[in-house]
Amino acid sequence: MDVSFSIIEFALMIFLFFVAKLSVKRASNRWRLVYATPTFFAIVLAVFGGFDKGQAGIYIAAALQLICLFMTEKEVTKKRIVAIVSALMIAGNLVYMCFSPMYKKLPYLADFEEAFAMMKAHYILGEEKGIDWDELYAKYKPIFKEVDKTQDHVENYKAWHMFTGEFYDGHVSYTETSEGLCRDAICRSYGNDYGLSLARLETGEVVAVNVEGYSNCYTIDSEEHDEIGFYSVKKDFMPDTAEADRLTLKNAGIKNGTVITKWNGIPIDELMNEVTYYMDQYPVRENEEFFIPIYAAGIGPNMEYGDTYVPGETVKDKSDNNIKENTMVNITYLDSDGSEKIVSAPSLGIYAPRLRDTMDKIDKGVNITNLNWQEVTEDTYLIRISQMAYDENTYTTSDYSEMTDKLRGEVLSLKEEGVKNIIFDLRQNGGGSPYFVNGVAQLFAPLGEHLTYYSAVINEATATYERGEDGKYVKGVPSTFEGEDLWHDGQIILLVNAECVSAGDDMTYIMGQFPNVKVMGFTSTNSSCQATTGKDFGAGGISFSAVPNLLEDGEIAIDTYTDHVGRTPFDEKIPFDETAITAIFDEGADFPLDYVANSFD
Amino acid sequence: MKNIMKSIWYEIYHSKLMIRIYIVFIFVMGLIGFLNSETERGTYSAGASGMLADIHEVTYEFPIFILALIVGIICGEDYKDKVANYEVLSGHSRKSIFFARTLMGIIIGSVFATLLCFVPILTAWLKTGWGDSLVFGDVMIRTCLMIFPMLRLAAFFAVLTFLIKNPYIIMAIGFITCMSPALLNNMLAHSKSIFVSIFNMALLCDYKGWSIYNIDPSEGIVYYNSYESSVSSGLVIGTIVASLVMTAFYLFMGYALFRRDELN
Repeated sequence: MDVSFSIIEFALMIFLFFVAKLSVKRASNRWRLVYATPTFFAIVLAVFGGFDKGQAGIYIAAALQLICLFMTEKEVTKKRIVAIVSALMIAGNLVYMCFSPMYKKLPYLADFEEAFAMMKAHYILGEEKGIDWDELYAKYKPIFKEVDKTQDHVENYKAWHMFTGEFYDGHVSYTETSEGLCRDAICRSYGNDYGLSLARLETGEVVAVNVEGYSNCYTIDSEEHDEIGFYSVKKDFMPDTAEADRLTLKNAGIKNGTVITKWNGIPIDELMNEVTYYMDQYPVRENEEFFIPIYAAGIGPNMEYGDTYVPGETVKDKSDNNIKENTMVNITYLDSDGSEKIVSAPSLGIYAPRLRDTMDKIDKGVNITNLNWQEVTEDTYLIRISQMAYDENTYTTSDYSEMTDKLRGEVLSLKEEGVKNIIFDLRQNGGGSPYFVNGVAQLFAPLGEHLTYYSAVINEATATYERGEDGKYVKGVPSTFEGEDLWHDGQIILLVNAECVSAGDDMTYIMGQFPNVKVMGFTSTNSSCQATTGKDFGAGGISFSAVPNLLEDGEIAIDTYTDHVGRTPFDEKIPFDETAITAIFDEGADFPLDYVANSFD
Repeated sequence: MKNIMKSIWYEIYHSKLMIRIYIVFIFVMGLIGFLNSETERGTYSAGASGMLADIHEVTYEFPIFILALIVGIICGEDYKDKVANYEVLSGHSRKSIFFARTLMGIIIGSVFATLLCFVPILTAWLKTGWGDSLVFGDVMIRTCLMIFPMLRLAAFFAVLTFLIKNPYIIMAIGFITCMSPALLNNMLAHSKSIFVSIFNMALLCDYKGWSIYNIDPSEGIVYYNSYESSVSSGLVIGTIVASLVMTAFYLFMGYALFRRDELN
């Protein structure tokens, strides 16, 4: 639109250059309207496209033509001079628009200031999370100031992810407004792909997983559509040698489960310390430590975490040297004899797609519609609960009776068929309505009244939640439900993971306390269950915890404190061992589900 | 110029049609305020202040139409019987004819349109009381400041009137303009720009605030709002300066077009 506007105005100036003489040959009073056209066009565009101070030169150039209305028809030279001056102003403005980074500058610093002020005023877990607002501001303002100056969307992404990570709250997040810039930032923020991810076993060893070249593993040739849209852009980041280098690790004998001991000479445990931000949030320390190795596999030689080499571009390493060629890491591993070997693994492109694929392979739930059933064995059924939402009408209400009635019928029907065990697949459950949770939990809860949470009392005049003298939020109205104990003689396992968040945490917390319910997973739930709010700014938007859910003693429900210890029930950690690695990455099996299915008494 | 202005004022003051139309608009604006204000907090905030906080365009949307009407009539009505032509023949300069009509049009239009902005506030107040969402003084300052973007918009309508020379087309343009914030919301970008008059009006009626909800076992999600109604010096100065500069620019543009116009 900006360039089109400039071109149209420029064309009008050329037209007016010729009109100057034409109006003498064909005299008419209507020619004066032509001199007003550039101004009218600019006004209309300002209304529909917005007034833009970066286009001031064009506005002034258009307005300058009005001077010609004070000239007579015979003053052709003067009119032509005015047309040339206006045309030059428009051309100059167009050059500025095309090449100046300050044009259409994104308000990175202003966004941070506004978001920070909003969170400082309304984030409800500041005390519980031990947030020192002044320290946080002092640390991050200079970073965002630099980002604003350089207009670097990648550094903006990194800064926001580091900032939101300080809260250890699964509900604190930042999303860029522009989908394209967001995708590009993700591509450039997790380092390069050396043909593998890393994972830590139960035994403490760090192993290779999702290795290039093995079936069921991620491959750089994959054209499978993913949610982030890597498939559409990853080839742009691929070096020419990627296809030739693709099987480097496989040829060296590295496979899923191979123990990795060093990364570019750095002991593998030390490498983990370099990871400073993540794609997701991990309020529970144990969960964070589970995922860190996966992120570490993108770190390049003598490079900062997240710095990514892109062919044709230059990136600096830790010693401030320019890296202009494809990067390579020296991976030290234990071969089948147990002896240490080193392989030089060249980059195959960006690491972000393999990173995401590895996490999905570990964490993804069964791919069926929400609230649908799937037979696992003759006496075991699975119900997939991917989000706590039933339909559009019920989402903002507290009445989920229609859903509960439907589910009751299905549960009783399964009971009649002789089904004894139910698996609730809550993996990657993104949350939703707490009343949905109540509507499901009541069917399986022991008989009698069950308390879930208390709401908090709100100051209606200021629309804020205020703490009492004891430092806790003031308890409001309790939410309860009546248990029906439909599955009294059967067993239930909740299959969870670190991406089970918000109302997913609620369901785990509530149902995990029932006598016949067990909670299992590779990782515990996210531990973030306060209700959220959010706001969009110029370049992106934030969301954060803003509505308290309280326990009977007035404490905040579920969310971690400064110890980062999860507060939802977690009865059995599924062992992440060589068997799991083989099942997930070699056989493509749903290992957690299979493990849970075999766990019933 | 003074005599032309006096004759225009006499014409407007004694125009039964104009008076009747204005009374109808007062009634319509009063009804808008009466129907949109709530006594109890629900989806929208309570009281006149709640209505103003939740429904921004309630004060300035319709007055834009009366503004176009007044400017169209003052600047464009006389083209039918060529009064301007006769004024030139009787010795008035083009400058005095243009500025007399334009200044009368934009001043009378903006003053009467701004006065209309107060009507829904008054009727809502009488029905439901003021409420506690906004500070009364701040709202009065913001509504008084409306005269500046109204002045700017009136000047633009005046330029259009002298170009088009048909008051009824200007009224139609005014109607479209007054409907545009509601109908073309998605098309009209950069709604925070102070340099466009209808967006400046939206800025004056936009109360920054905080909105949050609570989860009630029986009612589900219940929303609460608190608003900040104070007027920043930037908004005041920006509104006044932008309006005066653009008004002057439109008058300059209008005169540049008018001075050689054939007046028929």
